[in-house]
Amino acid sequence: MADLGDIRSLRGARGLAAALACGLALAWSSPAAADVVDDAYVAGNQAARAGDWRAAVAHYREAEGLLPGRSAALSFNLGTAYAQLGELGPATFHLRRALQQASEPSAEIAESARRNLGIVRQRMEVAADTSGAQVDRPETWWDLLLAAVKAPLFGWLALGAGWLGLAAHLVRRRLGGGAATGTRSLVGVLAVIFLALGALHGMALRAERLSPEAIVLPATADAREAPGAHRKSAFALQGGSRVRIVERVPGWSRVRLAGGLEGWLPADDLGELQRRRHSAQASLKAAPAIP
Amino acid sequence: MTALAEHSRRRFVSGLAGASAFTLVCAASGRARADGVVSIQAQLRTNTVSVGDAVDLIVEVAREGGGDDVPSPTLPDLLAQGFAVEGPSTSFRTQTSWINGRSSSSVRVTYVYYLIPSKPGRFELPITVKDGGRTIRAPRVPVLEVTGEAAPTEPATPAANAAPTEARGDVFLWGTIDKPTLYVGEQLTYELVVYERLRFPNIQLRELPGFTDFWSEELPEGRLRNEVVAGVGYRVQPGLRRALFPQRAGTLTITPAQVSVGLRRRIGGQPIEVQVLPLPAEGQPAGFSANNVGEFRIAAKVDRSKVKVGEPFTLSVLIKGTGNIRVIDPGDWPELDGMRRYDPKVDLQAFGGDVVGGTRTYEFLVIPERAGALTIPPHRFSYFDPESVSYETIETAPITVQVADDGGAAPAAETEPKPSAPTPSADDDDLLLAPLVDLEALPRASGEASWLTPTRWFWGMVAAPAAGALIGLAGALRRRLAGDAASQARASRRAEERGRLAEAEAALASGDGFYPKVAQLLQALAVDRAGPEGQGLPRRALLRVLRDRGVSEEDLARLRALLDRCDAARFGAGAGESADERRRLLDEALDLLRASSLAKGRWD
Repeated sequence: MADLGDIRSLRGARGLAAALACGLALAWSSPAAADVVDDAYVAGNQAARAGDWRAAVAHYREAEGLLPGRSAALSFNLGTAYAQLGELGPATFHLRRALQQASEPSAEIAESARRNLGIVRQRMEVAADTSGAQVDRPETWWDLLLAAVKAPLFGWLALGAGWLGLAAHLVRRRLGGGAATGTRSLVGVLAVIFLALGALHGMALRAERLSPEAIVLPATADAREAPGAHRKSAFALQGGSRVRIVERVPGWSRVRLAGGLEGWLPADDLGELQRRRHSAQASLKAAPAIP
Repeated sequence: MTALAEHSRRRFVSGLAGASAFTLVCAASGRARADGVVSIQAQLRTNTVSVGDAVDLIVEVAREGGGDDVPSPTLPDLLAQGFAVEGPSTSFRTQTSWINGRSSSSVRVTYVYYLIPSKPGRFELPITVKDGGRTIRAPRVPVLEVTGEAAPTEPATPAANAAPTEARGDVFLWGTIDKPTLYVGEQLTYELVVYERLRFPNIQLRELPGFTDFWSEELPEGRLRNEVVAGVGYRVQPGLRRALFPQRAGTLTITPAQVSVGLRRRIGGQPIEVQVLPLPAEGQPAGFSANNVGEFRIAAKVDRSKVKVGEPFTLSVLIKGTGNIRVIDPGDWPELDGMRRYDPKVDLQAFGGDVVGGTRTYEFLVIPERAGALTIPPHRFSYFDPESVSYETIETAPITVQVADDGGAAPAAETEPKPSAPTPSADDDDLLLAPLVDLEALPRASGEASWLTPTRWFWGMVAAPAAGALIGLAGALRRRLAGDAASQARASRRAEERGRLAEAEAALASGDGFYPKVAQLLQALAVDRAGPEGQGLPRRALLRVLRDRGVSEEDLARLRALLDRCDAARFGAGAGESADERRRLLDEALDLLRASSLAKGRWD
């Protein structure tokens, strides 16, 4: 019994030591990672000032790999550095990531990112015209509407209208008589808001979940009629084009352009915009090792 | 710990023993299988053929008694005996039988060779097979009798467009070229035809002529015609026509084609040698490509001659002529001053005739980067003309494009002095990328994900109407089950009575609060029976109302007596009653409550 007690006390001590070590590691890791991220970011800025865009991309990518969350400034700088290098696919991808709500872009960064996206778009169209590759159509008011409807604000509005309408309905029943006449119209309006906004927001969320948006990363990519490099090429896609992934098999994704044109691309040739951490190999290949 | 180690050791030893036993069994079975008996059979499908007719040689090798490795047969040197050999095609057959508890298996492989004799004679074909160190012979040696005359040997190099000079049986192949000597990269036209005296319906090209060291382009087929060869009429059936472009100098050979006539007969053509001369070194431009042989013209054009800075336009360079147009090298494109040029889109419109050629178009997208009169310099193209045996250099005319600095300004005149440095215009500003975010520390997103995740939103949206429906359903149920106002009041009264009775029952033993509860019970009974008129009346008046309501005098007397007893007990006169007396009082009150004229209509 005494031995068993010793073993238990020894285990307890070990567990305590391990917990302390974990705690210390967690306590120290965050500031250390933060310093390294800042160092890589500043090194990228210095390389960019010197005109060495290739090195700047490598430093920014290092910072992106170390950063646990998102940064609009980092995505913007990375996209702009790729644009300077003429790599339109990764440039579009990162500039669009900079504009996403999860990156929390400031008004200045959002304006700059939109400007640079416009320039990259111009270059894409010129390159597509030269190579004969397909490029996605420019964004229309409908795209903007869909993007707005997808925002959480619309979700809150629909949800609030629904519950408020329910509360108003209960109040109307409780009050009864003449007081109910006013609340009846209010319930009707809230029900319409609930149904209309809820349907739009739900459809936008469903579309994002079933067919997420992605950017073509290489300069041009051959979309094939079926998954497999030996399959016939259906058409070429310009790098930077916005597509939707409608089907996946291991290593390949079936993509659809806004006009309905469909083909299969290697999964590595696509950068998914909603993915929490970008790991497309194609753009990793483009980034050189840091000297 | 020791027991565990011992157990592991035993498992290891038993595993090792098992593996060894398995290996031995496998080895023994493999040895047993290798001991099968190998046999060979050989036969010809027919023993007599004519020169040029194919005959099948069928060889079957079998291993009886197990084993699946059947050795390949060894044929005599058939090529030395003038045979052309094709194949073999093989088929594989296994058979396993189980007789009296013992299994036996056999494997048979059948090889079919197609032999085409080229000379007459009697040929013995001994076939053998080797199994380990033993050589096994076929028990019967096939013997083939070949009749007819030996196939004539063709001259290697016929004259250009030479027709056959002698009749060669009922069907033969003939290949021609349009010139025996030519330069590297110059077009040579090759034609293969079949001469036939009768209509052979099933002539198939079995083997293409060999065009090694030639670039080959298909040409339209020739037409069926009739010819007389050495007094014999033939029908000349077109085979194939090719434009050939020799890729190196020297003596190049086009190897003969072969066709099958019917199922059994094969006929071959004659090889053709071509003398290919190297391109002359004299006068050859620097960096000249040997693919630029023929006769060409060149032109250049732009789709717009007046544009703005940054506005793209298309520059097209066209090279047109005869020669191997698919592989011509246009050479280095000249530098464009003040303009950015992208890689060209290349298009080819080929001619359709017997001479290969066409128009090759290079379309460049050009973006002017500064204002002014910008000149596209001439592009030079060199080729070798085999007709004149000379090198020619042709060039496009220079093109001037007027580039305006913005949308409103007129294009700058050609005579205006060229600015020393390009001044950025509004369009240029538009094309400048926004500067990087250059800070000391990287601003990060807070990382706080929105509380409203799609899942929460969905359930929140579903829950609102669901809660409304549930509330509505509950209200409906309540209304349906609760009934009218009278029954609701009855239910309420019953609940109150039950509560008072329960309290009175509880106070039976001690007597504390017993009488007030019973008095309340009886009072409530009286008021309830009297209806709205009985509310708030003193006892005497209440009893009068009850009498008016039809309550019997006897029940009224019992009620009065019970109430009096309760009053007496409450105010001291009857305080000494026992529990039994209290029980009797309660029973009386209950009787009055349930089975008297006072209770009439209360329990409906």
